[in-house]
Amino acid sequence: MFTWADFWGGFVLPGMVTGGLLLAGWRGTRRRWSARESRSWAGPLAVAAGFAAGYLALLGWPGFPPLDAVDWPLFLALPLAPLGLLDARWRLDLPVRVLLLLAAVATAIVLIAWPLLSAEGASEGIGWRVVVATLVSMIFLVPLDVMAVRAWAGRYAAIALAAAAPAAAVLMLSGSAKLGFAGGVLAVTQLAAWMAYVIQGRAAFARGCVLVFGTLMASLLWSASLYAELWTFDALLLGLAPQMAWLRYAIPLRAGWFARSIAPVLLVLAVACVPVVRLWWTQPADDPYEGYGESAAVQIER
Amino acid sequence: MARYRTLLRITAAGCLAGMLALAASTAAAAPFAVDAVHSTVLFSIKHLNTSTAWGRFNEMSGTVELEGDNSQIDVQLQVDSVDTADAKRDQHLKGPDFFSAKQFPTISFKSTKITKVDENSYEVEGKLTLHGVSKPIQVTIQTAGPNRGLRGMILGLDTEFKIKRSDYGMKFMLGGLSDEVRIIVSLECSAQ
Repeated sequence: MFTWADFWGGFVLPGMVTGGLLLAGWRGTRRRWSARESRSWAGPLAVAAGFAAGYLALLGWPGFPPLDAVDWPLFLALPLAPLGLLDARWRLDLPVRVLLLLAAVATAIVLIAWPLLSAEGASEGIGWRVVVATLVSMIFLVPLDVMAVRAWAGRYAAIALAAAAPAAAVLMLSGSAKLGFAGGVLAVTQLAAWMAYVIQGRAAFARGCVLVFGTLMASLLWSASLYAELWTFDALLLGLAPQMAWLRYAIPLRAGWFARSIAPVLLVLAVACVPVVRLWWTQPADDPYEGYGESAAVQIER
Repeated sequence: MARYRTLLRITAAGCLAGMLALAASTAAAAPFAVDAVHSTVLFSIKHLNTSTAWGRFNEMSGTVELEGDNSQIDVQLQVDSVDTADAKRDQHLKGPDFFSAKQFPTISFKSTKITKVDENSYEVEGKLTLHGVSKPIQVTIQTAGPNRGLRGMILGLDTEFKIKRSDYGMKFMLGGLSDEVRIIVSLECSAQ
């Protein structure tokens, strides 16, 4: 049941916080510093604060440390912001960014899996899953980070939004409305960031944003994989979806604006929607007696 | 001679009755194991503050001992066995929105103090652990038996109580699903 209070808390508030911080950070510095320095450096802080605000408004304070491991993304958001700001402000080299991303993702994945890792009689399998999940997340997030540095920030935010919105639906359909709401809040931050970047134009700057957005998205998918019913295949497709945007560089310049800018985003959206469609079609029937009635009818016919 | 036979019969019947009574009292003192097939744990919750939705746990285990110095009740429910007659709803209940069965696979009750009120009722204080949170609760249980079953002595326990799920960290959808949960427990326990 989605109420107006949920709409304000889960959609309007995170959007306002993210967009507001991005624009305020940019406007606050552009008069004092050079054009290069005045770029919209506040992205990581804006995404983290927007996510935390929306999460708290929609799902409430879970207590610290959280009882449910799936609540860790809320507490990961704010420490990630200063790490992202380091890159946004001082333009870190790729190896340093990869190390920061690895530290953030590994911490998130271990924290979320900790109840299973520390449980009595925990199998070795969960340890291996943690290692594989960290490596796979890095395989998907490092190219996204390179893209965020290389592409115009608005394009990066559109790609992140095209992946995050279907991911929220997948989380919801995988047996957890709570994770679905959190995914929705993360998607709203990307929508607000895209809108702010469009307003900023050439000053838009998405360095450091993948550290926050990517780690949070990996955390939500990992949570759903461990504690809800998210299929690994669906999680992999959601991780793969943003990589589709790299096809833009295979499209010749003469192909035009639509083919080079809009089509890759639509391709990201299409790939991310595959698990949504699969889950939608394979949901169990609402009527628990539907199957019973059919089999009874078949039996009578026989 | 006939008088002796009658006397012998009366004596034998008396001995048998005495032995049965002794067996019954010993059985009440001996630990009983929860028989999951003949036991029921139901819960109900208000849906949208209108109707009452019911569910049950199908798998449980535990031991019960009501007499003597070692009296205690120790029961565990398998969260994964939650059953509300709707597969989609069961999956949702097992997920992180409610019970989070993978993180918290069992619900348990362990008594800390058992006080006999009368022949068939006891005041039981103990710890209910649900969703990883342990809280003290006090319930009154009604007992039946011990009676002779097909495979030995059996004992019945019935109780009903209410908890607030938010006390146990289950705070999701408090608007749509009531905070207060009614729990009805009916256990059949077999002598071990």
